[in-house]
Amino acid sequence: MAVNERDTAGEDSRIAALYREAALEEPPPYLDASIRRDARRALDAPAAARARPWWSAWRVPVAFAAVAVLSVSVVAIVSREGGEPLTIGERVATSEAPSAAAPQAAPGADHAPAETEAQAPERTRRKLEARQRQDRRGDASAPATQSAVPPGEASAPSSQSAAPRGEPIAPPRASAADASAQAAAGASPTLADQERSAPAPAAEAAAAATAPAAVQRRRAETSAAPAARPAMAARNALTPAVAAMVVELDGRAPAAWLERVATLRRDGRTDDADALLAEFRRRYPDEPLPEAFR
Amino acid sequence: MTHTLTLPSRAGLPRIRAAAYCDPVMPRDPLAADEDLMLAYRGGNAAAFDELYRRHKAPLYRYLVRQCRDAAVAEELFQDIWSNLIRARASYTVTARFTTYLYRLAHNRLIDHYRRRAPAALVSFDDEDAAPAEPPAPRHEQPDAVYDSKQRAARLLALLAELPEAQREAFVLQHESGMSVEEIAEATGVSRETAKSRLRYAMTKLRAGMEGWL
Repeated sequence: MAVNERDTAGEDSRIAALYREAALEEPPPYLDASIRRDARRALDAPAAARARPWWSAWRVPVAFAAVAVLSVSVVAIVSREGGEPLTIGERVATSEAPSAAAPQAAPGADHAPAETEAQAPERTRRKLEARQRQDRRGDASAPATQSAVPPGEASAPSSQSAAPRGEPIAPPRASAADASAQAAAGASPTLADQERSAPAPAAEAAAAATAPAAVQRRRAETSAAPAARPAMAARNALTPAVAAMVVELDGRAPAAWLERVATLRRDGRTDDADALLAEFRRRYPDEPLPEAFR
Repeated sequence: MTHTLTLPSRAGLPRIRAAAYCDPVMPRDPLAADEDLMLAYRGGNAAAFDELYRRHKAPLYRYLVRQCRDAAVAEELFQDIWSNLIRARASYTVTARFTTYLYRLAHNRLIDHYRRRAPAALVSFDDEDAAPAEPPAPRHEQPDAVYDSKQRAARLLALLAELPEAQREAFVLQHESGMSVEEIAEATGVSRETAKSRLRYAMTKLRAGMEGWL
């Protein structure tokens, strides 16, 4: 066994020696030169990399700073425009007609956010009152209830729910000649809804046929002073009958308002009387009320 | 300008010192370890690469020639392997002998080559129990009995070419770079037992083929 191993080891060493004799290949000189040149060039490459323009070193810090500034700006804007927290009354109204409040809120939110914040408690209170009145009347008087509830809080049609907050965009038209008429017709569901809630009863019937008048009215409302917009929004929240009275009494003395309220109460229209009184209180908060109205 | 740096002997060079070593190395310093040369090259010393290349170019080239059996392909792979080494210099750390590191690169490049050009060659890497190639007839059976050393060398190379790839690789790694069984296993990515088995098969076949010629 040991002899065999010794013979094997001897053979292995002879094979190794023979292999060393046989294996004499070398890489060609051009390959040597090429590889050595690559090795030196690789060492020179960092120097070339260092020759980058001066601003390239600031790319990453500047990018981080830009991202940070943008993030802070977005957070600040969102937190500032985040708006008021929802009250319980608003949650109820919003769940019933999520988009109905959009046309009302849009002008105030766009042009006078501070004013909207100031009116928020009053609006909430009015909504709560309307809701309570609706509950008292019950389901049997549903049509009447609908008329009593301010349009902004009534169940909105699907077109209303899809309406955006701002001015709706008219769909593209085929011809420029009838652009104005089409613009009137395309005055959009939002405009038609506002017409339905307008003070004049005839406005309820104003549909596509009265579109030019609606457009004019819309333009007049849009171009009105910002101070008048909350009043228009409040008027839109009233029932048509009360809204008509508000239009009629607009600019008249407080005594005329109180007389109309008293007349309504005498006629048994207590809801309309309350709504008109609320509008009076909103317009003349400092006007003392007679004892009967307190 | 010639750098005259005296390096401690390799045996006295702690591994941690070698890892941190980036000083220039005197070219052709016989005491400089391969790992030190590679670290010096990583640090920007081109002469260190020249010395490293001088030491390893011939064994590596022969390894490739034996494995490819085609000089042109061997040259292409040879250049690729050194290029890979040059590119990887920045990430080089001393975790094993430089020889093992270099032949690991070579082995991987070879496997890529086999996969692209000759997938069948990969089979022989797993063909541990393949029947030995039919060796040329022993000397006493040859009609002409005049054999000089050149003929013996040619016969040995022919026998070597007949071996399966994995066995031939184990033999060449051991005899060209002086690698141990463990280092062969590490360079080729197999277990120590597998490397040892491959080496044993190769030697057995070569001994049988060279019977009467040695």
